[in-house]
Amino acid sequence: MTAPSLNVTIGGVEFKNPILTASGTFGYGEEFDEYIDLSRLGGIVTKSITRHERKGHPPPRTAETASGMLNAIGLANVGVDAYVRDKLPFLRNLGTRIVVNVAGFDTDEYLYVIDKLNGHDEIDMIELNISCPNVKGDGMEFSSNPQIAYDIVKKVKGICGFPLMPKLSPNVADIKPIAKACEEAGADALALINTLYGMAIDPFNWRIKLTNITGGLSGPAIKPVAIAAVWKTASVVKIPIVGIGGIMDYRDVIEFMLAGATAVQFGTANFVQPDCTIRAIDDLTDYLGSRNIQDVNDLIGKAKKT
Amino acid sequence: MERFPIPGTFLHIKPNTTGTDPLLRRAFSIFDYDEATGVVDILYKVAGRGTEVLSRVRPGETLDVLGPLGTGFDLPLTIDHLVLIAGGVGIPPVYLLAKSHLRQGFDGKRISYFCGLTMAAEKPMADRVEKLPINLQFATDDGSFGFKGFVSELLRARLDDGSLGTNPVICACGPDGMLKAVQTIARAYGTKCYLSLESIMPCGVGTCLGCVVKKDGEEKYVRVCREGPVFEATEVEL
Repeated sequence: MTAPSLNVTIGGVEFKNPILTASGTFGYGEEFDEYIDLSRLGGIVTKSITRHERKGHPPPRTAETASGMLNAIGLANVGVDAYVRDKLPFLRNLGTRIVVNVAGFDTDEYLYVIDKLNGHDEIDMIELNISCPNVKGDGMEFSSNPQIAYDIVKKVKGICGFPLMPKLSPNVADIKPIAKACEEAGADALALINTLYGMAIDPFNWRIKLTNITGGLSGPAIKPVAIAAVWKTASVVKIPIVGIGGIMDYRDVIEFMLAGATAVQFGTANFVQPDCTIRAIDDLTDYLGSRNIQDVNDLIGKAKKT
Repeated sequence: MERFPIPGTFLHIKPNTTGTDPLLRRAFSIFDYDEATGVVDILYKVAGRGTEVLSRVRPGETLDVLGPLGTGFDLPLTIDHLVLIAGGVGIPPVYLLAKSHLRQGFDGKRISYFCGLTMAAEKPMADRVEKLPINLQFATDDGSFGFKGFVSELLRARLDDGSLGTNPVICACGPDGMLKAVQTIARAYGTKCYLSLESIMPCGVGTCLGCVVKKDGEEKYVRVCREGPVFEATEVEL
């Protein structure tokens, strides 16, 4: 029997397997070079970059919660110029797909950063972090309103030299109209979900655990929320979905794909087990083989109703 | 472990062998290393859910350990006098530093270890330190033994009475308040000083940017897990 095919295609880009690393949990790739063979990954999504360098929020920036963690790092990053100069060269020729996560606080910032990235052929795709507050608008996240999401995706798509994948926030009443708006605006794929709003307080010293007060909740605690978001989104869009949220091992990968995801991103799990992605690729291969499934794409959206 | 670890480096340990609560690893300074067996020791106090779960691990069980990680102490043998300050469970990294220097032939008479404890009941934590051929002095909050008062005050007294040589180097690990006091004293006396910091470290390998500490005098943060946990006292703002 031949080995099962793990190839998936997203926005016209072929990935050798459906396992990517989530933005903000894998640095700029180089941090993990000593722990795993990066070339085995389906892709690497690098940490959000913005127009200028950002130092991030004052510590404490993280707090562990039940089966999850809160973070308020504050989009700390080197800024797009240093990214292109210092980080992109390492990512070239790694033998894996490079997805660059771009963040911004107004439309101009997104356009500025994308413009700086255009032409760098080591980049395979842009993941658009539209979960930042829109400082020039009403301060709401770009992804909290279908019209705002449509406008930003449309404008970025107009100048973006790469396939474009907006990353959606779960902090909305209904993710479906946002997803549809992004698709109509020309998005090539959707990544979901970003972290959930959360907060934690120490019951003994009464202190709020994060300096930033609230943070983004990630980890296994949010997986059911993410699965539901992928399932609902898959029912209304035709473009591929990349599932994110509490994925720890191959079983979670399968669950997301059954819900309708074409690929997934490992986030918080990278902190717990630096080689979690490689293990998942091996285990997924074994799983498909043991069930005589020749193509991983045969899992997509195949969840059965009980 | 195969080699004597660099003092000040740490192990990132998953407290539970299965399950997702607790989810993340916990960082522990390496306390001791036995060259004959390769066995590594850590010292910890039950302070939260992670250490509570870890305390229930029984002999023979397997733990998932990543490390050694981080940047430890890098002190030449040519220094005049090594002054080690430990507060409570801050004993390990400076204990291992003393042991490492002794092992390389550094004269124990040129090592002073000031150990700060809150009360007599904590004394067993320092059992191993007592076995080293160095100048060990205790400070306790309640004065139950040794110097009565903070270990930082003991340091100041010894700097004043000239018993620490002409050009000492201070290395400290302990609670934030203690480190701050030691940092202030080192600055006032113009003494070279290194601090081993503690921080919540989700990843331990420099990726999550959760464990950062502010650089002194700059609007910049550095990672405790990577650039640290050992920093020169002048580098960081506590």
